[in-house]
Amino acid sequence: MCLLEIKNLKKIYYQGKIEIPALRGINLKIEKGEFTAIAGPSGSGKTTLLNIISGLDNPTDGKIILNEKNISKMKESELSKMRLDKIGFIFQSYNLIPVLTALENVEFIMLLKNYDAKIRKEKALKVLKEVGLENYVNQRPLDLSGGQQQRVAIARAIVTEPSIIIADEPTANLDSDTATGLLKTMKDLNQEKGVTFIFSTHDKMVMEKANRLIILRDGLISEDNHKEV
Amino acid sequence: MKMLLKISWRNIWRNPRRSLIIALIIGIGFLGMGFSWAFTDGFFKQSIGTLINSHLSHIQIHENGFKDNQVIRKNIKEPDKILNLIKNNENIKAIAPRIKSEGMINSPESSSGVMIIGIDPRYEPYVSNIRDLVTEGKFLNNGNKNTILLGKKLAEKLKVKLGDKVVLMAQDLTLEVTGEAYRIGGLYESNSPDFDKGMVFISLNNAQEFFGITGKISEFAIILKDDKKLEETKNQIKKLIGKEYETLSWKDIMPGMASSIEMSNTSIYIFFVIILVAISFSIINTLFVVIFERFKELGIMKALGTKPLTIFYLVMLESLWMTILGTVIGGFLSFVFLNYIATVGIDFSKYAKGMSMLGMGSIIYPTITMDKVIIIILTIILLSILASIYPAIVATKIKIVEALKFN
Repeated sequence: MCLLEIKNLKKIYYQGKIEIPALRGINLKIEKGEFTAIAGPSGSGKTTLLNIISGLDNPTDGKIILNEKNISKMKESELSKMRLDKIGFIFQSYNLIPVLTALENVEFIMLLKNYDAKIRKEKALKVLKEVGLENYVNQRPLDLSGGQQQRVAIARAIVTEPSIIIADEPTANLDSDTATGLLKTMKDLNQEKGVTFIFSTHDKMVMEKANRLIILRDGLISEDNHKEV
Repeated sequence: MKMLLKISWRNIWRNPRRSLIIALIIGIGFLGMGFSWAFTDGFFKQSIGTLINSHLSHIQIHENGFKDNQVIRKNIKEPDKILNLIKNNENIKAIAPRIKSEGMINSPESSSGVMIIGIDPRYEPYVSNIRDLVTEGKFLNNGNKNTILLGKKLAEKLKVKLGDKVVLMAQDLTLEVTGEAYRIGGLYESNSPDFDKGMVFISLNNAQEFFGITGKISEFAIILKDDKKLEETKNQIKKLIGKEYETLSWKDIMPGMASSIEMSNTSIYIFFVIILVAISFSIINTLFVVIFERFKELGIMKALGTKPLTIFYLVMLESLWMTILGTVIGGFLSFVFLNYIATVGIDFSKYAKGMSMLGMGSIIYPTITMDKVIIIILTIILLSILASIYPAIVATKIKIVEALKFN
């Protein structure tokens, strides 16, 4: 089942009057339950592609159809709701709210979706347990290691069961052991719960774990390999 | 909202020094506003209070034209009739009859122009504090004929002392100059040397005989229960006694003082505006620094699906917390400081001469009422809300992609 379809996606940035094309016409289909890595050299368009897929940035041209809805024409308020309802985010530098505990950070997303307080707490505790942080629920981000913070970010991303989780270089700031553990958590969620992941990476180990590896070069897909891991 | 309150409260403690500085600025602004209001209120309350208590009273009733021409022929012919008409007014606390006319006081050594005031010793203490000002001898008594009460300063000028005789001279009702000897029964001393030199008191009976106006008086002095109802009561009295008489509030009698208060209130409001502008710029500046520091974080919150309105509330709440903290600090400082100076007063001995012209002592006791404290608190909170709107709007317009790139 096609979850995400990208048609002839183009993005041009402007530096004064100079055009800088970031994406030159991407065509891509992502099926539900995929574990897809997007790789490529710096400046190839990985982050731009992820930003546009998740509605954080607008395309210059082309269509992004997520869950059968064209998000490229959505207004800011619609995009905001779409992100809240359909997309989970994991950022390179974790980006948790520093003044909230691990539990409150995970609850925050559900709060935005007006979940009942009791359900919020139950679900947040459950996902934090799933990512192995049941003993750290009341710690604030500064009291957690990088790997633990990224696990909180994963818990935050999956707690409302979004259609897709987008991760921009999720292991970039982690040591290899922590990155391996984190990747295992993501992979388990993908296999056991069928959560769809799209993530950008430079890390060969991460690429190897992906079911599908898309290589971007100069704003175009140069390779698209489906593989068994 | 609970979570937003929690986030905003914790956010202000991310940089406690900055938050406390802002709270302190607000607190000092609060104290400044409170003090200036308390000082002017205290100053005017004291000066008006002194004037009202010494001789002015809240309201005076005379025959028409007496205010501009204080002569004995301008008198109230039927004082009992007036008294019966007004005595049931609910806001009147005390009424006393007086006779007033200009005259001369002579001693063997010297003489001086004075205002001769005939008072009824039974009622006068309810409308003025002249009895309390007596420092030597006794207050007047209806039984003691031809006894006079005069100011110590005047006695010094006339070179007379308690028990000495002085002669009063003035025009009577027939415009003939009349004179009579009086024995000094008491000396008084107020804060105003001019008052002490210019006012002499004899009993009402004596005055009526002296001026030849038996059964008549020059004025009724009235003290009110609630001075906030000054104009209202004045108009009620005016309506009752008719146009034949002039009913004057102390503001009508001393328009200069009334306009000084108005002017002073305007100056206070200008001072308030200056303080409030300074506070609002501090708030705006701090919020922009906060937004800049948390540019990425706010962008992430938006990326996660936080609505712009929620970001708006978050910034507003942070400002509100700092303001609440500031008003608590300001409230505490004001409570301690204003209570202290309200008890010990502020010594203006250096300007005692100027103060005494207003009939005041050299110590001012600032006073502030709770309603004014509430006005200050509400003004600061309202200002903080207004000052936060623009930074909060800017926060809602953060571009997510730019924020994500921000380090």
